[in-house]
Amino acid sequence: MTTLESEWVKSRWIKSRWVKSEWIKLVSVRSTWWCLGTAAVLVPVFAVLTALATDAVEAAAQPKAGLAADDAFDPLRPLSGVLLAQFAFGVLGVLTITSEHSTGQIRTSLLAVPYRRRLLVAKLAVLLAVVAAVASLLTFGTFFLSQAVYPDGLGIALGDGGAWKALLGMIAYTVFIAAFGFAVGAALRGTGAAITVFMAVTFVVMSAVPAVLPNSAGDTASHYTFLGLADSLTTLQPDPQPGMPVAALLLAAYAVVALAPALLLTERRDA
Amino acid sequence: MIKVTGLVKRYGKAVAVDGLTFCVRPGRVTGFLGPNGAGKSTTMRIILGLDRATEGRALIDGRPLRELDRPLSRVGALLDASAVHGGRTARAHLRAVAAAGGIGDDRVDACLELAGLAAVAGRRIRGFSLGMRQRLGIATALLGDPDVLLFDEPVNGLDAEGILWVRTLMRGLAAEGRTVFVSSHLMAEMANTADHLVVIGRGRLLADAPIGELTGAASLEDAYLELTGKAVEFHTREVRP
Repeated sequence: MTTLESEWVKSRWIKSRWVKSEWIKLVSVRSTWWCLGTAAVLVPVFAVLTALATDAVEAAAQPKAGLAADDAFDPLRPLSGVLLAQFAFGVLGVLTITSEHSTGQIRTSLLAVPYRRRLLVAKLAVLLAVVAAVASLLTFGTFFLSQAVYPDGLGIALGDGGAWKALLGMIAYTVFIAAFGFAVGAALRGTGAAITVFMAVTFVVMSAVPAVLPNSAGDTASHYTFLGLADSLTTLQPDPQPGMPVAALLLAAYAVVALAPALLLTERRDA
Repeated sequence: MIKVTGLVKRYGKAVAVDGLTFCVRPGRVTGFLGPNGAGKSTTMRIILGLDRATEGRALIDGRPLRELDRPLSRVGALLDASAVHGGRTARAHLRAVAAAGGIGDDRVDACLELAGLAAVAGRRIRGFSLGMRQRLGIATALLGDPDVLLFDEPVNGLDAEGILWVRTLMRGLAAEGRTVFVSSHLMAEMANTADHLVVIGRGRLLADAPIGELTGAASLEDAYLELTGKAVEFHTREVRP
């Protein structure tokens, strides 16, 4: 335990030169641009398509009424693309670490920075900063884009009804999913295995568990899956279940639990 | 100086390194010789802190690698030419490694030049031949201008000119007083490069001596085959008609 503790004390320090190195690594491979580019196309295109569809539907249903007056319409629906694009950010998280292991690059990296836990944390920090920046641009950009392309705007301003909080929630969830992908990748190391497990957990296990539980338990469980928590973070409803802060904490807890195996084992494994 | 003491590495029941003890001194080229599967690469990875020893220690200048301040400036290594991400350009790869060691881009360009890769610096490594990858690996090892250098089979895939270049480079590095440790399974290559040999087979030390002592009357190749004859992991069976 003492070695673990002393290691932890030493490992609090992440040197800026490692961050610079990880930044160069992240932006110098094409897969990063593929992942971010996919999201950058998907999110605004989805918003525009939603706008067109809504326009047509609304026109058919109630030609005279304004959009804002329609209670059934969720003004943030055009931003659903942010949650749809989660797979791209998750895969980016996976690839950021598995590409090092599958290519052997990790051995070169570890010669320069032999402190494995600190190297992992530096890598994760750079990844999350980039994901947060891109997700912010996409989320806020698409919000304003939607306001522009909708016939009557979204019927909501950034300051209305906690809209800005919902947008921050989308960004936070995107950062979470990238961290989760990274955690799975760091634990499994192989790209194929990690992407499969990431997808299986995020898209299959998380919907299967609530489905197989008995009614009320399944209902409750569905609020605590990744997407259930994402709903709480990104909704305009006043009282989501669970509440926003709780949902954020739970997602953070999911991330920490997922990261734990890699962080605990990395010093002991052969590179 | 590299000091290996009582080193053991087991993978389950298989023993890759079986009680190795030797010392690699500065100012000369030390060849690390042994048949395929003798444990050379494993030993080098343990010295570099990449694999964990089951028993024993491997120290560089009296310390494990991870306790060295700025390890890149103390130790350089070419492990295998595939220890790179093929999607990066040669320059991006070197810049990323250099940045982690606090080394500037001018040194990156100098190493590209030195390894004869300046013309292909902007190309993705995926398209490199094995020889070009070896050159890139050597450029990476030299980035921090380190005193201790490890090369695992550096001439694999190199053409005649490349082999001569590596040989001259290693002799030069040793002449500058650096510790140079080079593995190979080819005795003939070592005969032209090394001053001192560490020979292992099946993870055990077979010889640790100046190259002159190992040759004696017989040729170096014969001496090597005699030494390792009983310790070869994979024998070829003679096929008779």
